[in-house]
Amino acid sequence: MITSFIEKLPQFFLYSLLGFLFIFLQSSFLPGFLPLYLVPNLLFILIIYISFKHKSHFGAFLCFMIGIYLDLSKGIWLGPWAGAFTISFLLIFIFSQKFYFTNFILILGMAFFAVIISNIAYALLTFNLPRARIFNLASEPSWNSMFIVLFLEALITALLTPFVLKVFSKFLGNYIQSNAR
Amino acid sequence: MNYQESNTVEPKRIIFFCTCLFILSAVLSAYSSRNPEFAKVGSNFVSSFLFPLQKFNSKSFVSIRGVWGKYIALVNVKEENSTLKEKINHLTTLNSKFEELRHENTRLKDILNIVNEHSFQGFTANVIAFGPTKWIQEITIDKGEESGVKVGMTVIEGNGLVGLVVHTNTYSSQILLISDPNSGVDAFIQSNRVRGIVEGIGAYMTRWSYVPNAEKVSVGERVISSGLDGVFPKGLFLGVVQSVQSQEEGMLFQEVRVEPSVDFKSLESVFVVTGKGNK
Repeated sequence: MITSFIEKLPQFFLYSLLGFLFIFLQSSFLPGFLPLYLVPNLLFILIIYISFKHKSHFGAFLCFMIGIYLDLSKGIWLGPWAGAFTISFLLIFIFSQKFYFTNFILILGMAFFAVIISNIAYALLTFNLPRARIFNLASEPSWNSMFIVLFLEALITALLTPFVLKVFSKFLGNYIQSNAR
Repeated sequence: MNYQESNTVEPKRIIFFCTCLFILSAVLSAYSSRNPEFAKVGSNFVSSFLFPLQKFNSKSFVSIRGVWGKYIALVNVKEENSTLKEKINHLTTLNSKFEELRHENTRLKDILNIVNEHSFQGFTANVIAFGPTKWIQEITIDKGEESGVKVGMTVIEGNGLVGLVVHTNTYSSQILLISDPNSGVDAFIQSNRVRGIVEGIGAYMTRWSYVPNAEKVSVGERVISSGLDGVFPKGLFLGVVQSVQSQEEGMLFQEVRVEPSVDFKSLESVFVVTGKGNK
């Protein structure tokens, strides 16, 4: 397994670079043009692509590492997004064993649920962490408003996923592998 | 090659591997939340990687916005005379630059007013990024440890309180907005001094908690920081009361929504407060 990882180091660096690029796009570039609520989570689409394309330990490790980059870019906690992306990978991996993801609607639905599940995983991972390092007057988020924001994010990301996956397929290779059973 | 490899991998092994990674991330989360320095080392590296891009992006937005808003929309008008078109484009770009400068001037004037009013010391900084996910409401500014930014410093804007520095890198810093659920500000109503705590509830909104049911709170009243939390200076404008929902009898507190004075979604310049007193 380790030899295989070493062989894939160039790919690892390529995906890492893409990860950083997407963090920059969704945190700095796109908010200049779009209302913050409408900024898609491009990193998720990359995770979805990796989950389809690399159904292996390498793919899981990549998703974990991209989550680590996202955590580091925020500098508050290290780990929650890594865990959330790993769960997304696992979910897509399990479903792709059963279905062929060639259908537009199926990909869209998959992306939508992957974003939702990933956010739930994030919420669970951070639920019990000390919420306030500086403030001692912390509260819980308004779940109603958070739900709307996350629903919008999932919807926009899902709608974009089939198109971005096509772009990825063109430059990085087709993501569909026929190992569904 | 990938195709063959992926088919030979036993699904159970991958599920086991993912479970291990998930447990590792949970352990890392717990550890880093108790040892912030642990996350900071890698964060410095990532921010130094992203900072040049973010800085370039924030600078180029002045002209990009002008082009996007006023040029692209005109591209399809075929009848336009080409000379006039060039002139229009030139003037449009100039105009958008002036417009941006006018906005910047207004923003900085507002900041200056609030700074003079409170005799704050500090410096202005540009917002170069927003939180990449919706869970943590934060912004990144283009000033860091090199400029003297320290964790715990208050950040304001012309319209009032923005948040607190929670993380610093060499050239940039992260500000947790007061609309983040991790945030809380001891505050009172300017007119009658009724006290409570302004808490972030996510989605760029705040509520005012722990306001006793017996106290009279009206829509439209101004809420300002009390300074009693020992974190934020006194007298900073937080927002106006948007709605008041008195609780049933027997409940201690009423539900008050506060509309933040700062539009967090369109922040561009902020002021980092380093101290108080005459310069």
